[in-house]
Amino acid sequence: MKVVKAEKVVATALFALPLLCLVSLMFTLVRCAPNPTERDLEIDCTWNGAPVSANLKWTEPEDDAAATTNADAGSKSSQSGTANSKANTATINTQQALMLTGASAGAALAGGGLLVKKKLEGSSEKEIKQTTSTSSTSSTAPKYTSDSAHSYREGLEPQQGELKASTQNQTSTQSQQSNTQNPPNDGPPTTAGQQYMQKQMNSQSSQSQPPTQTQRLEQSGVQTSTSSTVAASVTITKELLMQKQMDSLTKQSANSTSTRTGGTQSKQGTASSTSTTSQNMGLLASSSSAARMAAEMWPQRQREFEQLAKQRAELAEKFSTPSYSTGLAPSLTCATGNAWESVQGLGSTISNGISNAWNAIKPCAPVILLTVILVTALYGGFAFGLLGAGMTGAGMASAGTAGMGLSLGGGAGWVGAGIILGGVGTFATYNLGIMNYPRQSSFEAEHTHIIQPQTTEIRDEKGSGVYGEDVAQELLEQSEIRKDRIIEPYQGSIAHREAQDRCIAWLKERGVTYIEDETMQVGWDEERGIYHKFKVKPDYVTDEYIIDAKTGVELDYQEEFDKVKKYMWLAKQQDKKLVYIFRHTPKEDHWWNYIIDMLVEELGENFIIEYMGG
Amino acid sequence: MEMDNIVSTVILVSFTVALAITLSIYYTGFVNIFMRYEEIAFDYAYATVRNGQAEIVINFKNRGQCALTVVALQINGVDLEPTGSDPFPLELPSGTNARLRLHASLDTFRSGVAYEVAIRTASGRTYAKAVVMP
Repeated sequence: MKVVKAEKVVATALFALPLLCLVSLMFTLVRCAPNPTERDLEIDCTWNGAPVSANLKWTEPEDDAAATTNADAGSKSSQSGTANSKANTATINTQQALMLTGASAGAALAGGGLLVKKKLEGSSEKEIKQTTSTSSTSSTAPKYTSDSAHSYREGLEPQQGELKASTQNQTSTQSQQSNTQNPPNDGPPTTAGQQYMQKQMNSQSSQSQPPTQTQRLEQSGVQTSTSSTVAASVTITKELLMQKQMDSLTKQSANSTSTRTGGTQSKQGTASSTSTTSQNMGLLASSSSAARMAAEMWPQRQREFEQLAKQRAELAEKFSTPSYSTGLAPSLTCATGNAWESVQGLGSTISNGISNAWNAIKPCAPVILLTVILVTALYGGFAFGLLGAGMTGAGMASAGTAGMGLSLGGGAGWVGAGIILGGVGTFATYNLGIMNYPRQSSFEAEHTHIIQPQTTEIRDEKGSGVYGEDVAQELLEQSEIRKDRIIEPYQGSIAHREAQDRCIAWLKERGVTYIEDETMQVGWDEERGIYHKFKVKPDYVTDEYIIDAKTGVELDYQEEFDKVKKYMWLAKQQDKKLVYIFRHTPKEDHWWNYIIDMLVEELGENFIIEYMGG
Repeated sequence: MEMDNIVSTVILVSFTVALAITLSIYYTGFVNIFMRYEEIAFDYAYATVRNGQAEIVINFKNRGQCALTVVALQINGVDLEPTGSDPFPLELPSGTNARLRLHASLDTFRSGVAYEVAIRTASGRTYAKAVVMP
């Protein structure tokens, strides 16, 4: 079982705390229950000329109290508009707040995650972390991960205090910096090996350092404000420490005194931290000649120095001022910092952050994308379905869906745009009162006898207005249509119409003046053993006749037979004569002949039939 | 499993949950915009005579999901016309408890007559409650 380190706990806390705060903030925004506020309003008014005093007392949430006050003081003319726009604005504000909260939560999560990852990655590289802890942009520090560095790290562990002290005191004085970065060489080399090593070291260092890097070496102590300088300082300080280590080993191997005081804190720290050095001393003491041992170790040291020089050259190339920038480039390289390097450092920070985030998300990118698409499609589709054909909903859903599909940041922007569009659309829908009334046929078209098939032109050519758009205009036009004409609804065929005309003529021939047109006749059906109320509407009914017009070519036997039986029963009940006038004479094999025979048999002389011929 | 993978999983799960919560809240609120309805519930109403004046008391509550905008008060279909500054439109937030008291002389509100007090809102709806003057 792994032991959880304190760093990880802290990192996890840093990661979880913003999440909890932001999530609770979201729920606070949604679930916040404001305190109630009481309001009292006295209204003096009149009703039918009499004075009436009205008092309205109500309790409302505090959040809406201001809105009410504004409504009181606001325009009185745009009543519904004011209220609705406020409601929409409040809703939009809530939505925006929620989205911002969500975006903040996402950003905090991403940042927290990166922080955790960084912490975990950095836990094994304490040296760099400790050295760069004085900088706020630690992520820009190059990682020192070569094998040679690790081998030296073991030997340098006890000297971290010295390293810290060196970094912290670098800003004190220039002379101190020089002492720190160029280790003092108080005495001449006492052995040939020492001289040789020192010579080689200086030669190697001078060959691998470009001029700008040399300058930066000298100024690295005060460039702690920029991450790039800190990175360079890390590398350089390590070299200096290695030089000091080599120097110390050589000197100690030659039994020289270790009480040299260089006048600097770093030197004192080196002298005082003797635990690791003692180990090396013990190792060296076992050999017969410390100088010979040091000379034998030199090839390895040289290879390590070559690697260091290579890294330093890369750093120098990375952070050097480009010659093609401007003529001001040399002036930008100054002791107190380099603007170009700062920009590059910032770019490097962002690049590292993006790279880390991408590396973390990369394995699960398809899952994330699929989740986002599914969630967005689900909720977007649900919202779109509820809104139907409303352009408002389409705008919001499309904007929201497209935005979320692109990226979180871009998505938030698109959703914001969608919210604005939705708010505008909602405002328009509420205030403009746009209702999609279905177009209906005009009153004239509905109530005028049309003896020819309607065409599209006739249907669209409405003498009247369209229902729902202007009721007053509609009524006015209907009254105009009614004024000088008889409006008779008719739904039958032309043959039936002709038969009806004949019915009227037939009645008038017999001096009938009172004719009821399709009046409802009600009777009780006793055939089924129960009193069954039925309703029929013969074409015409008079005091003496029940007359029905037929085309003679009806197709529905059951319907006509049922009608005939009801008419027959009514004629008996009301003691009237049943008259059938056929526009066309039914053919011999038509079922009408059977019904006519039945009528003749049942009613006898009270049944009258006339064929118009044809 | 390496620690990096665990951290990455935690990050992704947390991020997905946060995104889902945000989206759900957002879309729920988005849908609620179009699902709001207006409703007034009358708790009680009565008419009485107090201090030689007729009084009608109506207690109601805005039970709708949106603010209620009162644009007029009516008695038997006739608007009460404010004599001073017009307090309407009057916005009553959702959940508001309100009490309306109408005072008039006994000549105005006659005994034995039913009076229908109505609240007309900006949405065009009218909520009426009838009381009989004792």
